[in-house]
Amino acid sequence: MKRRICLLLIGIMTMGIVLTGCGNDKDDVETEKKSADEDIVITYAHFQGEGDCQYESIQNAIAAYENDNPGVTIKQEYYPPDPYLLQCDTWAASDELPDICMVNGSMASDYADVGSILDLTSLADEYGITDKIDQSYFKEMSFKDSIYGIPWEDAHYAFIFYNEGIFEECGIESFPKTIDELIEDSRKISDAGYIPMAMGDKALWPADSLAFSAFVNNYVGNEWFEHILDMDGKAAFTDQEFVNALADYQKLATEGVFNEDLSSIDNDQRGALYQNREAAMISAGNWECSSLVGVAPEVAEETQVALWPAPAEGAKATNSVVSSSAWGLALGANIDEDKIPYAMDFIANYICSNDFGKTLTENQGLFTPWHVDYDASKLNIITQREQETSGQPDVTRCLNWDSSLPASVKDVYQRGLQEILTGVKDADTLAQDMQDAYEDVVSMQ
Amino acid sequence: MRSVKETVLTILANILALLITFTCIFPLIWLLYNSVKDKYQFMKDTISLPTNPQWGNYAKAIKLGNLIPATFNTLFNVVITVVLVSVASVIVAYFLARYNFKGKKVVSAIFLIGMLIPLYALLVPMFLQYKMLGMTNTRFVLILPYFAMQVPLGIFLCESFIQDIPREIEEAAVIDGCGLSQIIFKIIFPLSKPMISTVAILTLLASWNEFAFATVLSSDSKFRTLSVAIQSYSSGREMEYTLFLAALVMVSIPIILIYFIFSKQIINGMTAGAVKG
Amino acid sequence: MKKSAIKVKTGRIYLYILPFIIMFAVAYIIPLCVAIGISFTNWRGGKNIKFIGIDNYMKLFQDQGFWISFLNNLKFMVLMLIFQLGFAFLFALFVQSKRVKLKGFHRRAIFLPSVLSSFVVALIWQIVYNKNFGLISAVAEKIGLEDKVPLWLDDPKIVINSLAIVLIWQFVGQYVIILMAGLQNVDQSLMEAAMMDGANTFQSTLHITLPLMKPTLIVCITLCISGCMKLFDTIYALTGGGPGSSSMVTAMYAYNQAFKLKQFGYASAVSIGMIILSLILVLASRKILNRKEEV
Repeated sequence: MKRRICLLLIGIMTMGIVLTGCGNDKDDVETEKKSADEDIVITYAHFQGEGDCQYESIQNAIAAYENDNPGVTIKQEYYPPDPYLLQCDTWAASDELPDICMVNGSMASDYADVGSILDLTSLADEYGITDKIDQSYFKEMSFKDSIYGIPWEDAHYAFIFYNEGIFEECGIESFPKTIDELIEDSRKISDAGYIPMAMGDKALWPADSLAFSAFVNNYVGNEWFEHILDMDGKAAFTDQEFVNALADYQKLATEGVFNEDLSSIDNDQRGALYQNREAAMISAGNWECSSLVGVAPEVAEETQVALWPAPAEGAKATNSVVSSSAWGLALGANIDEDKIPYAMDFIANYICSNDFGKTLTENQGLFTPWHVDYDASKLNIITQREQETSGQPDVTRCLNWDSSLPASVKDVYQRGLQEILTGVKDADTLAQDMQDAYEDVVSMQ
Repeated sequence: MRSVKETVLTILANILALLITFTCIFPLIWLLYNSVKDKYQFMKDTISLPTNPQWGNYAKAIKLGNLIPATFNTLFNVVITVVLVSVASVIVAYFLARYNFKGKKVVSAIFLIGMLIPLYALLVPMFLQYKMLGMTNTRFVLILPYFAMQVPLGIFLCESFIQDIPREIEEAAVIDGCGLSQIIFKIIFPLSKPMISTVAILTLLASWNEFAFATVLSSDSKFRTLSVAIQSYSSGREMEYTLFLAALVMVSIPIILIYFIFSKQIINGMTAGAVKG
Repeated sequence: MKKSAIKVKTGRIYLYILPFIIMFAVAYIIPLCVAIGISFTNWRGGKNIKFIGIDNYMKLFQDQGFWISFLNNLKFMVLMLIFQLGFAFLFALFVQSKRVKLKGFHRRAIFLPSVLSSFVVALIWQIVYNKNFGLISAVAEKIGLEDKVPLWLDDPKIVINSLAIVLIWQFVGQYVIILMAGLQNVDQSLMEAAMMDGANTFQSTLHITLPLMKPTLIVCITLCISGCMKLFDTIYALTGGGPGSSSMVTAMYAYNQAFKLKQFGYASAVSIGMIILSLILVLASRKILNRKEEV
């Protein structure tokens, strides 16, 4: 009898669990309804935690906005980076994205395709964002010529940190100007016991975005990529220039420019190799400048910034460097219509503002795509060197093209890059595989 | 008098055992001493002992990852899940092991298939389901999924165990006038202690470290679990390794402690079984 | 099956087990049905969803990527069944034996790796396997064998074996405690009687302990097979499926289809395909093992 009661209790507990779960949310809905009359709440999901570069700027922006707009609250939802990506994808799939969320180029395209985020083209105009930010920065956040994300960073990447001290030790007087020179110099470096260029491609994006993106642009040029993205048939992955780029990139691995274990170490570890003076070069991004100075000041002293060499013959561009906004802000498709002005006001005037940019640039060494008045003397030496190198007149600015590629092509591309670097696949096969995937997508348009 | 051969074999056996267990323990020791390393020293060298111990890493890690509420959330989920799974496993296993009843094959099949489902297949459907019920980001939302994740294995383990419990004990109890529920709770449960402890530990582990469901169903800061919180140490581009390790130590220690407590149950159960012979 | 001690009506049995079945159904079976439903569509997220019949399954049949991943799962399965279960069983017996001291210590220690989350395991083994500052390389350098050290995780030919070592280390403890709990039902006096009759340890283990452990072993094999089909976390953390796709496994393949390529419909079909394959393997293994009993 006692035990039967016990079982009954378990049954009740189960029911209780289910009901309480529902109950919780009902309470929330009621409180929200009450506060809706008084307060407008805008949800903003991001992954900028306390240690993050943009953290300070964001908190200041939110505080300033709420100060100027009593009655409107911006409810932050911080997620750690990897959970954020998974959560965001799940939200997008079920059309449940919050009012404001962070997206990168690929996410912007994917979510736009299924209608989970809003078309911001006219809003960006209306709120003066397109006046502040150069059109080229919107390209990555666009889908079919409409803007879906507001870029918030001017990130430079796929440039090379090289240790002048090591170069001198190995008898190399200046940074190689062609790929062949790079390979030759790398032999001298590895003979001296260093890793020529450290690469940590476990996550699949470094070999692609952090290195190949600028490397390949020197072979094919910006226009070629525009044709690919426009799907007008004027460019194909099987074009000779692209195949050459793949083949030469593979050569970097076979000729020992890259370390052998590139597919099992991650990006941080490759950075550590450079910081510990075990590697002479890394292909890097400008967010790494301040940490290099902080972690390894002596190596930072010896560090100079160079751009990827071009092939000796047939280069369609030289001194390519990626200059794009890796991330941006998007509005979820479910946002209340009345909230849109508030959200846009926040983004246009508090995020895309001088204050936001000034804090970011002076304290963190990162840049924004809108003009900011900052004190150049506050920049660390590496950032200064990078700015100098990327600011030269003959530099070709390119985008991180793959973030605008269809997901299936990008997948073959990134995994394929790792495969050619580890000798699993050859350049021609990869080019063909990419072209096949690409044509599949084109035929469905 | 033991022969030389005996002694040598004994020594070798013990050395072998120690080597094996050393490889199992070393990672924890490694975690411990690296978690107090200076960030810069860690990047240079992960093997040697810290030269400049940063005892503050633990406090920093707790703050950065907001670990205290996360610990509570995980404990809450895990304790309830373990209790539910343990009880459910024994009861269902008992009936599967001892009785033939209509629909028994279906019941067995349902739980077997449950054991074979890959987690990520259910991620989006589950999210849709709980979103519809309005239960995402609530206190209890993870209990049912965690229960379902572990109960099939629990049932199968208990089933094989209960099959070996001699029927004479039950028959004797019936003669003494015991009813069904008394057999289950006064006889089967106590006798199954070793297996219940095993099921409890396995459930504890799987639920403690589970992060996919925890991310998608309940990663709002209030109800965030430890497995999601410990991913707070990377900023998407770079990682705070030493703080991460400190957090990992703090995440692993509770389970190790609980395991040590539970393993006594298993060992006691074993001795009891041998004597019963 | 022998008759049970008391006769119980079916209805009463369900009184006890129905609450749990319902909980399980709500938690797992309903989402599974939703997943099955999605697998017959071309859903890519958002509002557009179109029924496409069995197209996804036809695609699955011919999908080389999937079958190569499945082959990898099978490779892991064979390695795990032989080495992980084998080692667990031997360890469980070994630690029982009279020779070994500190039994409790050993039993507890072997379980510690499975306490760690897969992130930690991956982190630790990354450092063990690392070419530049890894443990293995450091030891090899000291004894002058540094050239012979293979690229554990970068060589497509051996990456699966390297991963298998990690997985064996990580989960062997779980099997040890299951086997230990099962061993306690094996009557020690039977073993002793056999030994007194002249059988040595090996023979008595083979002919007495092993058969008596059969139910537990079958559960372990089922667990191993299902576990190997669902392999994800540790591999994802260590190699991400690389180099290239050399260590890609089916669960990761489904994950990529869903979250990288946003092909939720196809990903569901892949998952259902995985469940069916696992079911076939588990049922086949049970049939084989139960047939042995009749012999």
